Formats: sequence, C-alpha cells, structure tokens
Amino acid sequence: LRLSTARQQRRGGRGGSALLAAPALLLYVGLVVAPLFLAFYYSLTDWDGASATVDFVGGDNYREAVVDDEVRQAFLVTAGMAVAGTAILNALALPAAVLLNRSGRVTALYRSAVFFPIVLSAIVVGFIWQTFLNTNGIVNDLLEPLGRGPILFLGEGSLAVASITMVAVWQTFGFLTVLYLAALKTVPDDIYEAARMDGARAPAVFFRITLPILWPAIVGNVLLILIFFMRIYEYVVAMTAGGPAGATQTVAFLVVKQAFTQTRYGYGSATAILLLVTVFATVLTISSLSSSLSRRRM
Amino acid sequence: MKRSTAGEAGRHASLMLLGLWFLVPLYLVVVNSFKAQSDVLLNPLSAPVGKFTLESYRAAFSSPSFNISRAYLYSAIITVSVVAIVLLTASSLSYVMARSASTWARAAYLSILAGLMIPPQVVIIPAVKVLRDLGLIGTLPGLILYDVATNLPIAVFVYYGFIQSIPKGARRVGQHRRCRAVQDLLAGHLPGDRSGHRVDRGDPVRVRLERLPQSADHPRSPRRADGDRPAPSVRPASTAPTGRRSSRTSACRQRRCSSCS
Repeated sequence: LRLSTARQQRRGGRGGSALLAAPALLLYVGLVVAPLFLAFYYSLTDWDGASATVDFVGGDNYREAVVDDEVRQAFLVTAGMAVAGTAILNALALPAAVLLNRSGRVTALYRSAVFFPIVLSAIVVGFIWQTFLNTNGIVNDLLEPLGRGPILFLGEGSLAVASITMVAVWQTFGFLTVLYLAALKTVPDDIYEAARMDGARAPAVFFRITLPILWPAIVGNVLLILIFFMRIYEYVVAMTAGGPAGATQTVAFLVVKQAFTQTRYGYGSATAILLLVTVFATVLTISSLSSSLSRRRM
Repeated sequence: MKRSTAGEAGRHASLMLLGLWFLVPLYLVVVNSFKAQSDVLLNPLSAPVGKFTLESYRAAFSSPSFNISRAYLYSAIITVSVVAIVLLTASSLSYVMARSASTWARAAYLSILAGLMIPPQVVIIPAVKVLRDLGLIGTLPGLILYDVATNLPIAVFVYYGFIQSIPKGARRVGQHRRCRAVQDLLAGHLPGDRSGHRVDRGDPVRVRLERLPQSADHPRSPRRADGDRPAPSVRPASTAPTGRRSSRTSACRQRRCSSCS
C-alpha cells in the first residue's frame, strides 16, 4: 500500500523536481556556463565580435598575452589591490566586529554608520569619491592650508591604485563586518564566561578564544574578499577610467577594453580566461593551505 | 574579560572614528547637493544655511542629455524583476538540490558555487553574443536575464544552506505542514529524499522534512497552478482517506495557513 504511494510519488516527483530546477538551471547554463565555454573557444580565435568569419588561431592569443606589457601591468595592479585590500579590510573589519558585537542603542548607531555604504552601487561610490579626490575636489580643498599644492590622488599611478583600493575597502567594510559579526555570534557565551572567571584580559580572550574559533570564518572571508578584489572593475571605470596612462587598469577593466573598445573579442577572452585560472588557482591554494594548517594544529 | 572604563572609552573612540570615516562622505554628498556650485567650492564643509537651493536637483531632473526619471524607472523595473526572478528560481533550484542525494544534484550545486568565483568579465563577452543571437541584446529582458543568471550563485548558496538547516525545526514545521494544500503542492517532488517523520497526532502521515517554514519566497509559488498538483483521482483511494483530508484542513484552518484557500 505504502510502496505504491511512494512509487507514485517518485514518478510524479521526477517531473516536479525537473520543473522546479529547470528555470534557474536553464538561465545559468545559457548565460554563465555556455558563455564560459564559448569564452575559452573564442580565446583560441581572432574573432572581432562582429564579423561572420571566426579564424582559429590556436594559442596565439595566450602567447601574445603572456608577453604583453599591458596585460602584465594589469595583473600586477590587480594583485596589488587584492593583497593590500584583503589585508587591510580583514585587519580592520574583524576588530570592528568584535567592538560592535554588543547590543545597545549606541552600538546600533555605530553599526548603521558602518553598514550604509553597502546599499550604494559600486559605480555611484566610485563617482562620489572621484569628485572628492580629484585635483579640485574637497579633499584637496581641505589640504590646501597645508600649502603643498594639490595631491594627485587619481592622477599619479601608484597613488591612484591606492585610492581605488581605499574606496573599495570603504564600501566593502560594512559587508565584511556583517559576516564577522555573524561568525562571532556562533562563539558560545559560556567560553567567554569561563575566561572571565579565570581573569583573562580582553586581548588574551581575543587571541586565545575568539581568533581560533573564528579561523574557518576568517579563511572564508579572506577568500571572498580576494575574489571580490580580483574582479574589481566599477571603481576603476568611475574613478580613473584606467588612467593615468593605464596605471590603474585592472585585469577586468582590461578585458572589457580589449574586447569592446579594441574589438578584439578573441584576445579579450584569452585575458579573461587567464584571470579565471588565476582566481581558481588562488582559491585552491589558499583553501588547501588553510586546511593543512588546521590539520597540523590538531 | 574585564571591562575597564579606559577600555570602554577606547572602544567608543575607535568606533566613533570609524563612524566618521563612513558618515563624513555621506554628509558631504547630502549637504553639497543643496548648494550652488560656487558655494560648494567656497565652503564645501558647511551646511547650506541661508543659501539652500534645489537647483542641482532641478538641473538633474531636467537635463536634456539624460532622462533621469526614465533611468529611475528602468532601474526600478530591472531591480524588481531581477529580485523576483532570482528569489523564485534560485529557491526552487536550491530546494531540489538540497533535498536530492543524487550525484547530479551535487555536481550542479558545486558548479553553481564555482560561479561565485567567475569574474563577470569572463562571461560577458560570449554572453553578449548569446543574447544577440536570442535577439535580446539592448533590451530590458536581456539585461534582466543576464543579471538573474549572474546573481544566481550567491542566492543558491544562501538558500541551499538555509534549506539544509531546516530539519532542526522538523517537529514544528512538520505539524504546520499538515496543511493539505501545501502537502499536495510539494508532495513527491523530491525523489531523493528518504527521510520521513511521523507526526504523533492523528494519522501516521509521512511528513517530510523539506517542507519550508513560512517564508514568503519559498518554491511553492511556481507550483500554484492546479495542473501541477498530482490529480487526486490518480491516487488510490485507500492511501488518501477522506477522513484524513478533513482533519488536515481543520488543522490548516486553525493555523490560518495562507496556502489553503
């Protein structure tokens, strides 16, 4: 009796599951998975994005990209932003989350101050900071009494890279703090209670209790932020458009420029695939490093 | 952990500094949007006392080069559609994947998770081609579909974890789910799920754990159409006695379950 029901449910169930899963899967396959494979295919061609003929050129695009100074520069800039941004962001957001991990009206006020940039779009934030930081922007106005002339926050190569990184940190800070706050909530209160009984001071509690318990969350967040910085694009568009002289071109920015401005779809796809491989390799390295590290500690 | 007054003061000082870092730019943007350009350049920090003007807003809304009201309309359309479609499709997909033990579901989940790592610029070039071939390039639906596809991974990631965490409240959820309509809507959609619980009240109904809590965006919505329900007549009468049905509907009524109408 029950068996027949189960079989029937199973039969009806296949169709049901398929129906439930289909819309999302179709969209994902059609607009992410298929394009991913297409990108790899185009990276082996010299397609310009419009013409009907697509010539297969093998690894030529990759060979060109490896020795292209512009590509190398873009990878260096992206790596610099990713490493610096991830380090600064995590080093600031974790302590901030510890300080904010309390109830009370004042703390709620601090929290909302930290969180609000999340609701703005990256491009808007980029433009706002661009108006603040350019040569006659508000920051230089305020620095004028110091009498050093305008500082080229966005006009001097490495300074511009630092400015973009700072703005990305500014906007992502609240998001990361939320993630750390959520992780902190999982630390059981009685451990803190016990530590208090033993007379442990705040720094000891943080380094001996909070940090080890949060370790998996920290690794996850570092990865998340690294990936975020490796695909950084909107801030560059809004703040410097890649300038001065290509000094702030990130890989993502360069991909779009190669493909759509220079109409070299094939070459842009090759650069994009290189970026993808870099991201995957970074994620795999860090996650395997962290798991072997935690295994050794046990 | 001793909370000294010095420590407290330090905490407030650092948090205030942090807050200023975020609030001062906001303040500047808001304040200067109510000033004339000359005033912005002269005293960018002050509040627009006495020189308050809405000129910038008027200029923005009447700019001949850019129709800002239409831009807001488009943004609203895109946002609402993308959020609605993502919630609907991602929740139903996660539901199927989280409840299925099959290798395929696992593979699908992992490949969607991998999508979190893919920089959008990698897929945007061929995605433009795909959309052009579909005749959707330069149209709102095309943009919406692309946004949905690229936002699916994060939504699936969240939903998947959420749905997997549900069995903790199994008893309560199961009781709530004695609601006939919901049971019919969701019954048998999950072939991989073999975990059944008996509810000790009433008939030994197999209540599956996957029944979702009262979240507004869970996947029952697309299953609403009557044609999707298993037809009652197909089911052998012995497995669905009418007595059980009525007891369930009364349970429904008690719980004011919105799904039973």
